[in-house]
Amino acid sequence: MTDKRREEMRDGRRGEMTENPLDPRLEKLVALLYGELSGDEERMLRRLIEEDDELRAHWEDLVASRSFLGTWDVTDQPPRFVFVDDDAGVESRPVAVPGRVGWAARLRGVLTATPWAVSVAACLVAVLAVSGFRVTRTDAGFAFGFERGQSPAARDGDLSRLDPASGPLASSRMGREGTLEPGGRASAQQADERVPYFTKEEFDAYSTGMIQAVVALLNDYARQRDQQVAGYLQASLGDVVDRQTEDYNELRSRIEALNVGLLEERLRSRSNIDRIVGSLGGGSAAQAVDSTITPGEGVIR
Amino acid sequence: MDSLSDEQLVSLTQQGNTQAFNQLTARWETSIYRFALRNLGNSEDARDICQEALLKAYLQIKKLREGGKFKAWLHHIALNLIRDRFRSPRSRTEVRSIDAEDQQSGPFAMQMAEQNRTHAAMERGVMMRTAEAILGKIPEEQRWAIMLREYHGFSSEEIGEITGVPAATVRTRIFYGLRSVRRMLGEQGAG
Repeated sequence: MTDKRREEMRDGRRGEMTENPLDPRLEKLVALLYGELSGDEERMLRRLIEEDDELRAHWEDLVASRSFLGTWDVTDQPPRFVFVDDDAGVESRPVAVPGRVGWAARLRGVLTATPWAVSVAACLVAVLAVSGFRVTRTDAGFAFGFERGQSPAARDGDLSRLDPASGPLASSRMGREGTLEPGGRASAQQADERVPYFTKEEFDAYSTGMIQAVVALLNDYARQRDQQVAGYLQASLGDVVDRQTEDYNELRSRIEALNVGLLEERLRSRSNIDRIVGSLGGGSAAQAVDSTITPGEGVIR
Repeated sequence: MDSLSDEQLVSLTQQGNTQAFNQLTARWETSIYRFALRNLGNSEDARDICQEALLKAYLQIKKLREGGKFKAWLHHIALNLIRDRFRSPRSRTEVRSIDAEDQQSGPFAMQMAEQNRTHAAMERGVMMRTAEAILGKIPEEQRWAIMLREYHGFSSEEIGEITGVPAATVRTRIFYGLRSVRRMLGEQGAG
């Protein structure tokens, strides 16, 4: 190493808190440390490190420092930040969420939060599935209807409580075979073929009617259940009253029997007292007994 | 969206796709958070920096012309926020100084408190705190260069873009910083 190089390196050492340009070879040491050199440059520099003690000392310092810094391992995880679109025009802001929520947890949350809505939706889907309902994409958008060849009776099977003539679909014109025709928008050809589809509005009305029917079914079920519970309670109450009456009568007969025995005992006592008083020449003890205990006392009425 | 590159995600975000930005967020939030945590020393401030950086990036992403440099750009934003935090009165409240640590709160006390742990774990804990303390004592420009290079895998050129200096200056800072670390290790008797 030339004297000039050594001087530059000493300058570098003094300038710890400065940003003085380094000896290019020292700068390359850093590049080598982090694998930023090409193969040729690396080989050349490693040879220099072996030949130059001072350069090797710098290299060893850098390696030791880097090895030591590798012990500072931070594993903390940040909270998750999620940007939410707000249709109301408010700026999206990152929202910290506690962690990733799996689909099972989301589904569980929906089911527990809106059990009635889920029940009604499930019933609706089941009814639609059974009745052969299909959604078809058309040039004009989506068409809702039932599969060809399915009889109206089959469609109405699960909806017997719905009366198309008086229900929400009453305004829809019905085809000759009961197939719903588009509300005035179907072509004559479509009408002739009786293509089984109806409009979005009709579908909305139809689905509303079905929901109402499902709700009515649920209400009927609730009413029947209430009636059953009330009947059961009434029967239970009757049993309890009968049992209470039996217990009452039994208890009453026992008390009356005890009372009779008591009266007989007192009568015997009174006669004994009378006999004793008579032998002593008195005569008012029996009246005193009668004033305290009378026949029928203690009888429960 | 996992398979899309940063550049593609940035492009989608610039077209108004918020989910694309959420993917970028999920990709880089940990790096930003840990960078802030290493610099500021507490998770609350690190979380604030992380949130502010992501929000700024979201609001200004249309200014980013090279989507492939999103990571460096995001760290540049975070670094500026950290700089501001250092300059504010509520700056880094605790840059641990190994000189100031006494027997009660220093690594020796920690060793006493962690007798149940294995010796290796205790030693590792002490080393980590020492590394944090030593890095806290070197000039911040050198510290940032070392952190971005050592813990976040940026190249010297990328660090230059983040910090606004040439790559050669970055290597200079790293060199001086690492030498300071070595010197302080020697003074502590840990080297």
